[in-house]
Amino acid sequence: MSIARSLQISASGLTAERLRMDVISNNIANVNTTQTAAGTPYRRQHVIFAASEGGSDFPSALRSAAGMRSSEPNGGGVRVASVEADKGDFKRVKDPDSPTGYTLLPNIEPVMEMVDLITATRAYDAGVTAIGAAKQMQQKALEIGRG
Amino acid sequence: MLDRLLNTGTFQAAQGALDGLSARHAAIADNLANVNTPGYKRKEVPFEDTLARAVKDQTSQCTGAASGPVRPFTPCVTRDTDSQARADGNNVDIEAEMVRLADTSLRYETLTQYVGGFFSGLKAVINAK
Amino acid sequence: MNGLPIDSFTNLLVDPLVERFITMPVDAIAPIGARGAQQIIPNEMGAGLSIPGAETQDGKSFGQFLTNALGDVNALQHNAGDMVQKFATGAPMDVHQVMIAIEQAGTALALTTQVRNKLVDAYQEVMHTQV
Repeated sequence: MSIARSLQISASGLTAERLRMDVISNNIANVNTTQTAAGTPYRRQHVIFAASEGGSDFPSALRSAAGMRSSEPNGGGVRVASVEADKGDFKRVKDPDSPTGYTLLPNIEPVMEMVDLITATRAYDAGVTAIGAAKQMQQKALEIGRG
Repeated sequence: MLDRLLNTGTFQAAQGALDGLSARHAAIADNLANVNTPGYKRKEVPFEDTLARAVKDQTSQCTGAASGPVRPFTPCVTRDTDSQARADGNNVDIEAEMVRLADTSLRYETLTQYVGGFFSGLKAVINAK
Repeated sequence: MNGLPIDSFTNLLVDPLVERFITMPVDAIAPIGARGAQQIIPNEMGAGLSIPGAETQDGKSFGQFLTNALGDVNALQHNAGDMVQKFATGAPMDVHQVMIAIEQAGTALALTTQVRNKLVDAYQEVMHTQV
C-alpha cells in the first residue's frame, strides 16, 4: 500500500460520507412529506456501507485474470453497498379532519437524523485530515531530493 | 563499495520504516473511511519487529556475500479483532485512529528528514574540495 | 564492489587514498614506472608507499575498481530509471521510494566522477613533476 493508494482510500470515504449526508438531508427535507408517488408517506432512507476489499472492480479483475500480481493488495476503501428504505412503521398523528381520524407521517426522527449527520461529518473530517497528512508526507518525501 | 556506502544498516532501517509507515498510513485511511461500515474490523500494520529482524539478518549477511540492492521491505497488514467493537460490529475508534495518523506522519517526516540529510551529507563530502 | 576497504566515504578525501590509487598497477600510470616512479613518488608522497599491501588489495587494480564502480552506478541509474518509469505510468509506488532511488543513483554517479577526477588530478600532478 502506498500513500497514493491511501489518498484513493480516503477519497472513497469522503464520497461515501458525502452520499450519506445527502441521504440524511433528503430525509430531513421530507420529514413532513405525506404523499409520495407510491401513495404512502415518505420512507426514511438509509445508506449501507461496505468495505471494498478489491478484486471486484474491472482493473483488478483484469490483472488477476492475466495472472499479474500487483505488489500490494489492491483493497481498501469503502463503497456504498445500497441505499435502503427503513421498514419501520410510519408515525400516526391524530387528525380530526381525516376520515380515518389520523394522518401517517414519515418514519423520520429529526433528532436521530441530526445525530447521523454529526457522525457523517466527523467521519468526513477525519478523511480530510488523512488526506492532508498524506499530502504532507508526499511533500516531505519530495524533499529527499532537495539536498 | 557503492553498496556499502549507500546501504548502511541505519539507512536500510529508515527506508524499510518509510515503506512500513506508508502502508500504515494507508491502513489508517482505510479504517477512517470505514468508520461507519457495519462489521468492519480495523487494519493495522505492525512492521517494526519484522523490520528489525530484516535489517539485522541482512547486515549479518552483508559482511560475507555481496549484497544486492535493498530488497523492498513488504510490511503485512493484519486485522485487529481484539478491540471492543461497537453494536454494529465495527471496532474503529476515530480518535485513536487520528492519534495514530499524527504519530505515523510525524515518524514518516522524521525519517524523510534523516534520508534527505543522509544524501545531502554524502553529496557535501563527495563535492568537498 | 569489494575492491577497496572503504569503510566510510570520508576516506576518499584523505590524501593517502589518492596515493593508494597511484601506487596501484594502473595502466595509465604504468609508463611512469619505466621512468623511475620509485624515485619520484617516495620523494613527493612518502607516506604513499608505506601503506602495507596497497598494491595487492584483493589483487585488483584501480582500473578494475573503477570499472566495478561504474557497473554499480549504471545499475543504480537503471534502477532509478525503472522506478521513475513505473511511477510515471501509475504503478502503486511511494514518492519516497522513487526519490531514494534517484538520489542513490545521483550520489553514486557523483562519487565515481569525483574519484575519477581525483585520480586524473593526481596523475597529472605526477606527470608534471620535474625529474
